[in-house]
Amino acid sequence: MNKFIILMLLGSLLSACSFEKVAPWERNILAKPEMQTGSSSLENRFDDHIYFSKEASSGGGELGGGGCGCN
Amino acid sequence: MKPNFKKNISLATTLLLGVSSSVQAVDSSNETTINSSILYYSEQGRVTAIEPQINIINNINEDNVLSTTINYDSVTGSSPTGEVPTGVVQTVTSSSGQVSTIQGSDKPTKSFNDIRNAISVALSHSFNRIFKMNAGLNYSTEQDYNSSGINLGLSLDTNNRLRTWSFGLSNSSDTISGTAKLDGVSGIPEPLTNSANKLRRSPIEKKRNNELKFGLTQIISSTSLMELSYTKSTSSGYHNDPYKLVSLVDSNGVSSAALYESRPDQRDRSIWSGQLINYIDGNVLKLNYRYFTDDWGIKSHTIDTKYRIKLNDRLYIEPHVRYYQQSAADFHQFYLPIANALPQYISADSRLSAFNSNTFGVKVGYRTSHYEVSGRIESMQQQSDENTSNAPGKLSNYDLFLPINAIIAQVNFTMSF
Repeated sequence: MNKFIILMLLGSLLSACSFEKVAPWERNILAKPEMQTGSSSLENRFDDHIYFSKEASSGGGELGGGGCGCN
Repeated sequence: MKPNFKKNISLATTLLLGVSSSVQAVDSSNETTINSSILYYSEQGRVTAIEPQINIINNINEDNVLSTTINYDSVTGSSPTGEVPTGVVQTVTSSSGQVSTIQGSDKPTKSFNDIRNAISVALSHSFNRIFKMNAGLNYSTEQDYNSSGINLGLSLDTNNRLRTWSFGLSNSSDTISGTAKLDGVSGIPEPLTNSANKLRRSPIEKKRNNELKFGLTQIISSTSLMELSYTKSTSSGYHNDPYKLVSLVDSNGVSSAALYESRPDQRDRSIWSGQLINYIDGNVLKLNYRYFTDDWGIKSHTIDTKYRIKLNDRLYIEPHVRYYQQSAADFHQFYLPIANALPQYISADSRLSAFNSNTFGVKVGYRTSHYEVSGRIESMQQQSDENTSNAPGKLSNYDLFLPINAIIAQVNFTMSF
């Protein structure tokens, strides 16, 4: 519940912040594939699997990737 | 209509993350994009893995995109069981018949040869320009582990599409079946019992995982954006590694038995993540931070940065640095002194101990309007500041944390038509 409140507050804070109002015709750079949050997603999948197998932490990236009996 | 390679990549990422790429306009070209990759992973003296993967993205129509991914994963080698070094040279024969020697100062290992096949399918549907949904299924299978899952996500663009709110849910169900390769007796071990007795608790065990994710993507300027997310994950069921053991040691550091490990049957995780993407004179800087915490006592920080440098219109080079640090699980112990009471939970698995890890790598890519070829090579090194000098007897002279030093190499080929 606390975490949900924090998220809502963050959202409100973002609303209050004055980010640049980028017009649609000014978004050509933002549209580039290398500017996307999930770029090289096959690579991210591989990395998620490697680090899930070798470390205690997981998640934060792609939601719901399959599990494995990684030894 | 002229194929739009760049647009398809963006839709692909939208699909796989369930987060709307608010800057994309959907067009009606019937395109297919095929991404193929092969990963080579090799740990010094231990595990080697080869994993080919293929992903096909199909624009069904203006509002629907289907993505299918198939992986094949072959992992061979040996991993530490969690037992302490014996102080004596041992000869070990692997499942393939290869004989190797373990030094007295090395932790005993178990060899294995695993094949894993996985498939996932995801559909992204746009209700209108600002509201999208995605749904996915995944399934993976290996000799002793099956996993199947479903995920659903929604995203909404607001503030003239400068902000995207996203929400996702996933559920997965895993089945673990200890096989005869454990020690000749199939089934799931009875935790905390002497492995020499080969006692089994059940033929199979299950684990269920549920995740909830909230995300927020915000365009900051015409050249930068950021993404924040919070993920809550709960798993219940069998969390033990059926192949991992804990040594029972006396005051001289000599092991008298190896017990099957025991982990809690519930794990609650929280993950906070933030990413900043900045375009600087043709180059792209990505900075990512993740904070992980769970109710096993583990806390970790991950900082990941990539800087894509444009060499010309088609060629780029991208150095990558990742720093990771984790604390130990509450129930992690490198060994159990025989004089101590048997705890309810204990594991000597190095992956649950306190350590940090550095990855350094570089990727090079060549991209045209219809295809992209790229390759990367990376080095991952773990290290630990764990003080084991107060371990009993000769154990104080040994490294009880066995660091992983690995090479990661990957080649990709993408084409769109």
